[in-house]
Amino acid sequence: MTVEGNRRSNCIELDHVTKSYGQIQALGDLSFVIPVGGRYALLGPNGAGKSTTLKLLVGSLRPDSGDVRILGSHPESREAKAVVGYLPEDALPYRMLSVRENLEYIGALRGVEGLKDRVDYLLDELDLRQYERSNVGRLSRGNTQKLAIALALIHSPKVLLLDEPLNYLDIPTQEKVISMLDTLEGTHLVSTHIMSIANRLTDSVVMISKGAVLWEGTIEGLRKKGSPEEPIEKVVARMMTGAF
Amino acid sequence: MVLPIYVVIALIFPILYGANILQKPPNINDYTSSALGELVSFTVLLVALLAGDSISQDFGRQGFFTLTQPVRRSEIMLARTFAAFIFSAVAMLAWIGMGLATGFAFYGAVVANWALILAISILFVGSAVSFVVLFSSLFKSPSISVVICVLVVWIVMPIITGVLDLVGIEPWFLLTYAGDVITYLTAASYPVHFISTPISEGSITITVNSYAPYVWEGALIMVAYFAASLTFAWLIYSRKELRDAS
Repeated sequence: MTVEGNRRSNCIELDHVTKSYGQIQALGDLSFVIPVGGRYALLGPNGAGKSTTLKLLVGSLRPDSGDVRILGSHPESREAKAVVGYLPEDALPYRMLSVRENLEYIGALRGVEGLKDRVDYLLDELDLRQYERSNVGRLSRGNTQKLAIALALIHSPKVLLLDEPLNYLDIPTQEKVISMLDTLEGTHLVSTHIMSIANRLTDSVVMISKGAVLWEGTIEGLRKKGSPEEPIEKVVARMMTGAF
Repeated sequence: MVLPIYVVIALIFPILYGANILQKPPNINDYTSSALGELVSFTVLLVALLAGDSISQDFGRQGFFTLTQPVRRSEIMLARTFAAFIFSAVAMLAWIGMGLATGFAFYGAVVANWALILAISILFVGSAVSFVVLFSSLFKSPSISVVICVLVVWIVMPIITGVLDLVGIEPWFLLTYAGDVITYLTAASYPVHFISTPISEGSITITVNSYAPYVWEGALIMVAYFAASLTFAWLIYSRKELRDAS
């Protein structure tokens, strides 16, 4: 396949990316590719560089070296931003706006057609209807997280980047969000340090540690790295600690 | 909330004069000078409160919901600057309008330079908003950027002006100095550019210097602030990363 052909079939590309915060190196020569339509978990221990990777993919950070692409475009480009939906970790939508105003504002910025219907749909799906007139500053952490998920989904993104999406959610809501994400098309990259979440939301894994790829492949392949009776979490833990 | 407080402050002197609590100045020029006396200070305060967090808010966690949208940072910055400018200009013109209207009610006349006062005021608002936006781009915390803005224009700049007056240097680089043009334009005759007055007490003589900017000079300082502040704010805003936002 040509380079151009690769670009078209690849959705997310990181090529020898490095990123440091002062003296602290967050990513050291990180490279991986996620194909269009892929459902990947970005798995790693705390401080592995998962959030930094997602921030590079949404253009909030710039790599010190290397190249980052979303559907062939630089993350800071209008083209890339138009197709990406991003849920940051510990998301904080506009505190001075109500839930509905947040959704309408972001929807308007993104030029969502049929915005009112879309907002109503998300309010109902995520059980936010009763809070639609409440200011975000008054919401519980769980409801704030639900709103942040709705904001990431409002434009039906082709590329969904989720950083610890189930944080703060109760179990029924977690199940609802998982079902909702299951029905969505597009490419998903879910950053998490919890294997069970990766297992529910994705079918493939990019495991990183200390800013570099440790292992990548399907969850099935990951399972096969251990014995049949061994929980997958144990396998992952051994791999992350380098005990393999 | 900010606008009603601003309007109440603007009405203090007209109400005190109207209710004969304060003796009315002898003529329309002195009256207008009094009515607009605190205009520049309070407009700068208003601008700081309105625009002090215009950029800094994007470098906290909220920024992930603004800077990840398919909108250029330049568009976001200009839209916010323009919104703050419109709101502040309306407030400032309302203050001046009340000063002129109550002056007309008391004296049956308005100051000769009223049109120039309005024009310079709009220019001043533009430069003040740009300056505050620049400060906003320097800080991550919205509250810190607002507080620093207020400290600079309410405390630091007047102190520098006072010190420079003492040593006889014109504070041509200060926005608040340029803003004085607005009040000076209310006078029947525009003050001279520089006055040096020796004051003696016993064997000690000190010289008190006072500068009044030329109208063109004040306008030029405002234009320079406007252009330089917006340019630097844009350079910072377009390059800054959301490093510590989460």
